[in-house]
Amino acid sequence: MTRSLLRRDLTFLMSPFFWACGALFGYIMGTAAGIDFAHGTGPNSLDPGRTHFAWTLWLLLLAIPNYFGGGRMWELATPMHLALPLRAWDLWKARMLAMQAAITGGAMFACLAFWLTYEPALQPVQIVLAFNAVSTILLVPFVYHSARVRTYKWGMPIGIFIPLLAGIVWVYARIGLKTPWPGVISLLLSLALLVTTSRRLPLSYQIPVRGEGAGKWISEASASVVGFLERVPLVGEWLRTDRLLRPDRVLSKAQLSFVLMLAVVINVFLLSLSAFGLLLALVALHAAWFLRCLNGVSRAAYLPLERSRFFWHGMLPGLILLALAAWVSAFVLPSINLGGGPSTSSAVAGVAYYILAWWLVLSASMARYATPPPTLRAWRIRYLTMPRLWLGLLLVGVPFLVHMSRWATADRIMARSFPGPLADALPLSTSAYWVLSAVLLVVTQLDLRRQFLGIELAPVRKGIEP
Amino acid sequence: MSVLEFRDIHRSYGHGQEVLSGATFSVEKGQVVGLLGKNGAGKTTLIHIAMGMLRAQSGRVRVLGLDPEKDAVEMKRRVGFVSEDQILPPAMRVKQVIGLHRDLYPGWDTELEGQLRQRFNFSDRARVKALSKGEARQVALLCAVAHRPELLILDEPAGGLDPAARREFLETSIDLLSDGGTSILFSSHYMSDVERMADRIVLLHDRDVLIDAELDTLRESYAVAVMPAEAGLQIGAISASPACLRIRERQGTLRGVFRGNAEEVRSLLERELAVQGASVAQVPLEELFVELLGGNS
Repeated sequence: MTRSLLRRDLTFLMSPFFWACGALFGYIMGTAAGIDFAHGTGPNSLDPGRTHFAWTLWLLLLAIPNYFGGGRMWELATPMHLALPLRAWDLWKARMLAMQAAITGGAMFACLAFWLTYEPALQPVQIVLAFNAVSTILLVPFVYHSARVRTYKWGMPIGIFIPLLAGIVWVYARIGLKTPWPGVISLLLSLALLVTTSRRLPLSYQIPVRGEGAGKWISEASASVVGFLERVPLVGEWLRTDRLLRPDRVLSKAQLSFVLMLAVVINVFLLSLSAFGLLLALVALHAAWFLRCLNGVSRAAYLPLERSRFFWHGMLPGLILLALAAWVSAFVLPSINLGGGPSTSSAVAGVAYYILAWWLVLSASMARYATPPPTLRAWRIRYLTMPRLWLGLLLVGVPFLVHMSRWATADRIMARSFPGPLADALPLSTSAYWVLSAVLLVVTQLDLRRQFLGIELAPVRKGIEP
Repeated sequence: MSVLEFRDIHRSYGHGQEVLSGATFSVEKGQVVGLLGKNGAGKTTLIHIAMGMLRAQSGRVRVLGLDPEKDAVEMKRRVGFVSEDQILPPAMRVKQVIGLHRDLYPGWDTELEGQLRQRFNFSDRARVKALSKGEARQVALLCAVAHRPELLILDEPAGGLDPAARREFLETSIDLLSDGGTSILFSSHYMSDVERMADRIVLLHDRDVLIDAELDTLRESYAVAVMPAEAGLQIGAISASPACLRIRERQGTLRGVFRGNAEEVRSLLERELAVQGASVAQVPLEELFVELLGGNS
């Protein structure tokens, strides 16, 4: 049984046969949708909805087996396997599968969201690129957590997650795009998923987890939200010094509820500003799901590869794969969906943000497990002194700025369905969100207080043991 | 040739948190060595270095004559490993976990596997996440020994188990040992377990090996002396003696651990250090451990 399990997961999914089948299926679907593969472009007269549907379906079918195959690999990437006589090749395949699952899983949700939100008046490519860019930005602040998560529990059981997802799809189908509420609902669900996935947060240990079932779930979620807020500069300092959060005190349920409600209200407010709230909500869902994938990848860092081998066997092939994925999203999709040529800035942005995101994940995992520092402060210092991080930010920052202007264009197009004063606010809200995202990225990943303000962080206590 | 050899092992975590500094010892064929030390003394780090999970920053490690990094697969095929924080894949069934191990170890002994399955009471079809802690540890032990390893490494193997499960685990390990030839390195905080299983003790303290001795020798050649503190004794003079391993003040007395049997230590104290009225005794292992590693030095 095990042999067949390994064969199925390690060999079959990686086999040329599997990819040939995928490519053939994509060709058939694409041709059925009217794509001219011989010339590398889709006909301009083609109904973009049909084209997009074909691509979505193809990616879905590609992603689903990868999800399960990758999931199996994540299970194998537990500390137990450090002690097993696995060959580097097996480990490499395990990593590749985990990454592949994450990438295609992300693509699956991106396409699903795009499909659901599709309107002919919009420019699909811009939406897709904006979607992926926002996903990455949303994702990065949580990479820290994914690198720290050491338990093997999903934030939300898959049995609940899938029906929820189906429910969201149903709601979209029923209500359509004329109201932001489906977005709000899905965002709330995404938030719930996010906070329950990020368990080992700095302050979590201060909040006792009580009760069973829903009570325990809420308690854990509250601890995670507070833990996240604690990591935001100034807010974190305030929380740390506030008497409510002194180490010898714990938050009351009312106080926790307040913190949760505050987070929800802020998000709903942001959503109500723009029709992009709808897209944003799906982005959050995507990010939440993606985070779960990342947890799996960070677990792969348990496997017994040292730094140099980690790079050559795990990181480099992954980056090549990511570059390919980015190339597809940047060159192939635009040419097919719009019938136009490839966009250089899209390609650069696509490659850069994928690589940066994965570099962050893998570096964080490697740094965390290769030589785990004793405190959060030490961990942050290590990150702060990584020249690769600054290079990555540079790589990703410039293309993002380019995309900001493109995204604003798409926002104006969306504003047509929201006439009146709201329409004028849309580009502004988009830009504001970009700034907010950038700030979040910086303040959560880097300890600027220490560098510029000279404020020392207290060492973080040991968290709740799984 | 030693089955396991650590020579001058150095390992730090993060920024200057040195855990091991020059640790040196070896395990010979057929020996059962208990690795002791306080929490954070470096026991798990040392074991992880032996298993190739961590790299020593300097020093030499050989397991069955192999380099754990360069010859990781070959080495791990001949070694069994169980640790307290070992997390088996939670969604896998017991049968699948065992099957996975069976495929990975060429020397898998299906007969021994069958014997152990009969002895343990877990269900083949149960998922790992549904097992009790004791049952999960039994599965881990089965996976670690059914390929008849030449070296078995146990890192706090009975930690967190109730007394009955712990006894069962240890008895199984001892039974497996009786086949002969297998060397065992195990870390534990349970002195009774150590006394029951170990031939030799290696005590880690202050980033290095403090004691490396046969268990019988350890019992006979170390003594604890309790001296009245008000006698104007000079702690510095006593601790300067080569025979003194440690001295500390506690509850109005000075308590020291010395090399030598009770008579030798009493003689040393009276003649060379001019200490009168000391009470000297050979003590059980647990007492010795507390005296060596306890607070208020």
